[in-house]
Amino acid sequence: MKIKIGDTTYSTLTNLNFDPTADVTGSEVPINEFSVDIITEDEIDAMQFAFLYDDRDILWAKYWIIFADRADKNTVRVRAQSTLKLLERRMLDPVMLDGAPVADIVSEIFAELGTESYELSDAFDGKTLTGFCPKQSCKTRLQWVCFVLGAYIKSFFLDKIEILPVGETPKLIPLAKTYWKPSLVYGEYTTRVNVTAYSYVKGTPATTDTWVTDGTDTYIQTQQNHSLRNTDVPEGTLTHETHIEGVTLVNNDNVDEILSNISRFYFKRINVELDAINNAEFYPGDRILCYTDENTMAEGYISTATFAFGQQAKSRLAINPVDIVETAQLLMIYQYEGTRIAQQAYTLPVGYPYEIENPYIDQNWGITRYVFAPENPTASGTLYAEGSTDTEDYVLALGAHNGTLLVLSADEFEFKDGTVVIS
Amino acid sequence: MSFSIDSIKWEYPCQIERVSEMTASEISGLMLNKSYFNDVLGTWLKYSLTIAVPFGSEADYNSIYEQLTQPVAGHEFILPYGNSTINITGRVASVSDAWIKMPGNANYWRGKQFEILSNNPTKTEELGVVLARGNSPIPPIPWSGWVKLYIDDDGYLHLIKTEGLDIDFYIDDDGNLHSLALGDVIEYTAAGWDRVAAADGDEIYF
Repeated sequence: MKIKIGDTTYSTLTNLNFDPTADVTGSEVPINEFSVDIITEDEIDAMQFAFLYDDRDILWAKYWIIFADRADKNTVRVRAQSTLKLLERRMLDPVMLDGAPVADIVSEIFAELGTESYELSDAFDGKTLTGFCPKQSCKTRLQWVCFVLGAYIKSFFLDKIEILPVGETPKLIPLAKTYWKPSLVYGEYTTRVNVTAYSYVKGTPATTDTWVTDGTDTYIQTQQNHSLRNTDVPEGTLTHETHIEGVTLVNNDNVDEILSNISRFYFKRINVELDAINNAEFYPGDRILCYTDENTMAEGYISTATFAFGQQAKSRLAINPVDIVETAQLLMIYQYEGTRIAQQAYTLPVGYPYEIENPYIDQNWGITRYVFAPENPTASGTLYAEGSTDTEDYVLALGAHNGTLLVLSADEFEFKDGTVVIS
Repeated sequence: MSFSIDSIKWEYPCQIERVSEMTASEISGLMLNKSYFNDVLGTWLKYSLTIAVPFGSEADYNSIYEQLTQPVAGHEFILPYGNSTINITGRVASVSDAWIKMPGNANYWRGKQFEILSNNPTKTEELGVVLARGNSPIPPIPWSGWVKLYIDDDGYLHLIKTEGLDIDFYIDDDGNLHSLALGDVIEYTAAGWDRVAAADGDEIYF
């Protein structure tokens, strides 16, 4: 890993801590940060950007240095935070929205940081907001927008802040990237979710009315509780309800969709914690399919990834909440001229549209070593509940005998500087 | 045998032991598919030297001792490596020897031993290369330096079987694999088995 500050890149780092978080329920906007000790005699100032890269020059974070202190003659301790933190200090005036484009509201929220500081997903093109926003910080208003839209904030692995819809297509964390052994944590059942919806009529309120003002007009506020019961709760479970109120962008038109969105999370009680090899592949906010053991899988959203670094990177992923998914076995058979040369079994979710790379197969037949190449680079299909078998054909590519490389088949070859170049 | 410490070359008998350590990071570990993920950071060299400075060369002996025991982060060494030498920046954690009292008041420090640990890896791989290869690579097939093959007019590859070459198969014009008995001859050149320089479009006969 390395850090670029100004024109200087520092690659002698210790104590690098980076544990980004995302909230797909819209209940908060996490402020992500990293901290590191940089081995240098340079003087490093706070109040500038620090860019965290891996050794492939992939950007992991672009954060604002809030703390830079010399720990000793050779070490500067740096702490840098997402610029979302700056949204806490700027207040927005109250406003009554009536079909206001989401893009305009978000633009106002990020006005101080600039248009290049964020990106609103085009999934929200044409979306509007109706309701009342009181005087509140930019950060709180952003959190309300995410809650109502079913969106989350991604402030890592990019040079800008992204506002994204909560994903539907899961990424698979394969067995070979999952450390031994994930753990499941069972929480309490939520028996019902309640959300309060608000409606407004412009007028002069009576003394018993609840009212709001945007500084120009006065609006009479009425509210109504909407709820959804968890039908998966066993009989006799003690009541445990969640109440969400005070978000006055929730109205009678969007409340059912909001209830449906958030109940997906609140009605589940199982959380998974696992360690995975993670070279900037699995992000907080991602929808994930993961293994909890060799034959069991779960599906949920990554809330936090706590990284540890070596040549590659590892992260402890908190995935919550999850569904345990139905799995079946996919048997891959690899054959050469009708003879089975290898096979590989995969446990995958039923209905999963798999695409698996066909590997090169290296085998010793007697004293000769052969490498078999797949005719097709990948195998794809859908896994059935009763299991599936997929047969892939191979050709002989290379053989090695007594230290001599024998080319057995080739796609193309050319002569170059006295050498046969085979591909 | 010669070795160099901080640009000063010393020519004295010594025993040098070499250890290469392929150091893995803390994130190595057992995966859920029961394979082991070995996250290798690089290869570090460790040399152990025992120097035999002959009697009468006390000034040199003491100079080497004083040089090695400087409280510095590391030294520049030139040491034997393979059929050549290697330059490494390494640290010396300790130097040991013994005081020998001889008859007639002749006393000597002898048996100097020290260990050099390279500060930087002598071999590394770029992260992009490691990830492209994956965690379960097919190891490279030993490469003899040239390929024994024959390409016919139609561009098919053939293997050539002859005495002294222990190959037990060949591919015919249709690309089918056939087994051969030792001694069978399909085609060969009278020139023998020398590597032939080729220009574009040439057929190669080995």
